[in-house]
Amino acid sequence: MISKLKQLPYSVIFLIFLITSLGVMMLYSAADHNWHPWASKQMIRIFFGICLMVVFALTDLRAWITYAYSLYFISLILLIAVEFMGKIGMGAQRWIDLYIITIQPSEIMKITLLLALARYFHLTPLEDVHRFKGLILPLMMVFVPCALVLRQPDLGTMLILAGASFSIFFTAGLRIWKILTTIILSLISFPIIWNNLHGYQKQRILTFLNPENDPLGAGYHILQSKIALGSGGLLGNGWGQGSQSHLNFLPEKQTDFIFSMYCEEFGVMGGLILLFLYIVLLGYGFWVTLRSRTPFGRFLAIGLNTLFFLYVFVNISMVMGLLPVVGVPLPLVSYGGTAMMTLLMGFGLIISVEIHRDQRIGRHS
Amino acid sequence: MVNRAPPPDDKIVFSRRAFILGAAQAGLLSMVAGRLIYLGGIRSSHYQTLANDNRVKLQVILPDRGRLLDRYGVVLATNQWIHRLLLQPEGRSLLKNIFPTLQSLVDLSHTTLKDLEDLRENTPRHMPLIVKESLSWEEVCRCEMHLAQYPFLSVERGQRRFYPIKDGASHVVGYVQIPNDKDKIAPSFMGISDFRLGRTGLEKALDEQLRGTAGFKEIEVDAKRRIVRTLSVTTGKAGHDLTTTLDFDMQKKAYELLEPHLSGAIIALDVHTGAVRICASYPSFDNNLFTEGISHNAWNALNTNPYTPLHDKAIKGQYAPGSLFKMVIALAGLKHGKITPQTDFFCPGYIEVNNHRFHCHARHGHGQVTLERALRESCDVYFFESSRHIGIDRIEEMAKLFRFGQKTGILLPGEKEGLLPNRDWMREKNQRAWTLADTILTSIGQGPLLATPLQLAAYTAALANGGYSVKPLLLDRDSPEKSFLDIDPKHLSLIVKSMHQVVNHPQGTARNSRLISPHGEMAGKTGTSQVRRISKRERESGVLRNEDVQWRQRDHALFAGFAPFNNPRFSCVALIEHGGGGSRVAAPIVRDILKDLLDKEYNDQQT
Repeated sequence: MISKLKQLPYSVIFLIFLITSLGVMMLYSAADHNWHPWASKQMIRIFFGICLMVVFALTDLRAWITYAYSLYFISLILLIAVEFMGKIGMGAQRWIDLYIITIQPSEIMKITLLLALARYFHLTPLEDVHRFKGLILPLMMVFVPCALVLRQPDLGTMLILAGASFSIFFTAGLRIWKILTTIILSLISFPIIWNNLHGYQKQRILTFLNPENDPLGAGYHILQSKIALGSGGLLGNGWGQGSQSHLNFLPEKQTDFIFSMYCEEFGVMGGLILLFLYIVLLGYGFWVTLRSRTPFGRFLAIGLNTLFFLYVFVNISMVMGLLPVVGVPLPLVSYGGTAMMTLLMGFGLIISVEIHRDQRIGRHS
Repeated sequence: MVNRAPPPDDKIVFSRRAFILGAAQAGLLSMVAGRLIYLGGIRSSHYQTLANDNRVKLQVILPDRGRLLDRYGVVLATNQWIHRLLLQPEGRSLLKNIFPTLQSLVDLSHTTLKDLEDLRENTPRHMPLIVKESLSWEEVCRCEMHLAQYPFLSVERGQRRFYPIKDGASHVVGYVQIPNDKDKIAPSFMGISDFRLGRTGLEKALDEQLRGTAGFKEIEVDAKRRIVRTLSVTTGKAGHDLTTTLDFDMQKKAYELLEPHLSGAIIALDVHTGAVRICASYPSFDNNLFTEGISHNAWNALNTNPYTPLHDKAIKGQYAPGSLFKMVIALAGLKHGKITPQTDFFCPGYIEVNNHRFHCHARHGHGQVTLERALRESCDVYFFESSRHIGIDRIEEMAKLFRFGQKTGILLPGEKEGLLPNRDWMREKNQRAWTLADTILTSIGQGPLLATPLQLAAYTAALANGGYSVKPLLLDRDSPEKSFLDIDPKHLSLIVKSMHQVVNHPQGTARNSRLISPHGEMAGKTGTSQVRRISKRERESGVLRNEDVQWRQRDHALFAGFAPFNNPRFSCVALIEHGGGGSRVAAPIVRDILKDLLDKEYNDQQT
């Protein structure tokens, strides 16, 4: 155990701590120079999250692969439970209220699905991956939770689940032409998907295409976000000096649009620095992926890395108007419990892959 | 083992694909970085502007509206501080629930919940609702006591236009009103509760000067449009106080004299400067009714009043001038030599033209009449005969000199120009040629000929001041505009002498209205403006006296006078609608007015 502790990448942990601290700073500013109601709670979460991260990191990889499917099924059941018992928040049925804490099954699903996929492809030889037969099961494993999540409705989470899963399929050797076929199929099925979207989701896509169309309604968020972000200029207005956020022109400033507020106060320079920190983290994950000597580790790491990438990319693109508003938080910075926990658990797993990179796990179940 | 096993295929595949993924991710993130630099770098100033647009708003500060004063400084229109009860935007949805509370705080007996709900429909969402204007002091205290309980209610202090004289000079002074959509007011002004636009009278004519220049406040607001702080203040300029030429005391006196006669107008001018001392139309109304929005009932009452209080008879009432027009005929005749001071005609009480009889007002006629007597005793036949010789064209020419058929150009809006008929007019309007009968009617100021009391007063002034046309002035600071009328002074002096005899000669038609004053005597002319045609049958049975006819069918009574005769100072015209005879009703009024005007004037000069 002690040797494992020595192997913990303290620089990476520090990097994570740095990013989360930036988040806390922004939450302090967002609450008008107040630790309450956001900054203080966030710090507690960070603390517990990092502890959890370390626990995950120290856990043997073999334990993870053993329980991968069980964990997957548990989260699937919880996800189904949400359908029936869910507590409604922000227009989407996503939470289970257990009176003490609230659990967001879709968040947990992100980890467990990747664990399950990693295990599956670890056990599947390449030839089977090339054949359609080998893909049926993993596709089902992805499809079911995605459908449930979409019904909640939570388009953002669904896309991230699908995207991260795709990275595992892709690196496992999925044939290119199959990918192309899928793309074409989804384009064809687009009208069906369109009809299944809720009104506000359709509105968001339309607004995304032209936010100025409805500046007071659906386009308001994007417009205000760009205004706040752009008005910061290169160096920003200064910590705590963001007028748009402080005068409440910027909505969701502590969650989805926290990046805009950050850029309003710290400018493009601040934004690029944060982006750079994220890139370093992604690089670490990538480095871990290449170093692992077991497929399970590799798949798990790339899946989690892609997950993290998608959070960063989707949120920042969204606040800059490059993507429609889909409710994806900025990782490690946005105010929010379950997302933070999930990400830190994910990093714990990545670190676990790194620590246990030399382990050899059999490829036959 | 010597040979190393080749790396498994799937690892190669994995690595290759992982790199592809990595490259794709790097590419996407560079795009993100690029966009970030674009928005925050290149487009930064654009967003800065939008950010400021969001949070900085301009609030207009309304300047004090200038006052209107009479020549002695009596206040005709001023501003009053008032308090109003406002329901802030946050409380708009609670209107129904808090209506009883509102009723307990202020007197809402004239407002229903529906009235307030309608008001809410018409008020923009971010603006407060005016629950009640002009709170009494008691109401203000009551509200202030309870404001802490109701954070969405507030008491605002504002200014209201106030007319202390109520109905003394309503038509001339005019009133202000809340602007409506047709007025094309900039949106930033529409939101201000105190902003009013002059709608009639001097309030309208002088609106721009009375309004002043607005000031501005730059304020910072949050997303709910609540004011966070003031960034800067630019002061404006208060409107100018303006002094009119009116004499309010005399205006009031004019009203008192008109009151028993139910409907009429009085104008009094300074004959040399054109300054308007009196411009009164009776009945009148309380201007204050309009400033906050007149109630339905009040409006209906004014509109349906048979004596038309809303109609300014002094400048808009158009009447046949009757015998007042005879001086024009006389001057036209003298000018072209068609008559002389010695020319006489025989008046048997009528003349016959083309089988039609035109009657003189004296049933049995005047006998031989010369000009002086014709004017003094207002013989119609003299003018019938002379007009036959003079012809309508020359009459029209002389009338035009005295500005009949043209506006006087007084400062007030809505002045009417009367009507001076001529050959072209007859052809156009009635599709026939001008006939002798038309000339004959015109010679005694009847027929289609029309003039306003103001025009008649200006015309009288021109006769009195030695032959200058003067423009009626209402503002103290305006300079007189006089133009010399090319009239032979000998002719004018004969006319004026005859007018003196109208009042002061034992046979003058206004002999019962002599002005007894140390300052001089009055001269003038009586007139009766016919309203109905007297039928032949009536003539045979005996023309009904005005008193025996229904009010609406009686003739209008007119008198135009000036004084002092030796050194004319003021001209005055009185019109009594359906008053019957000019000498009986209108002349005494003019006499009383002129008497007081002269007394005041000469007392002023002594002190």
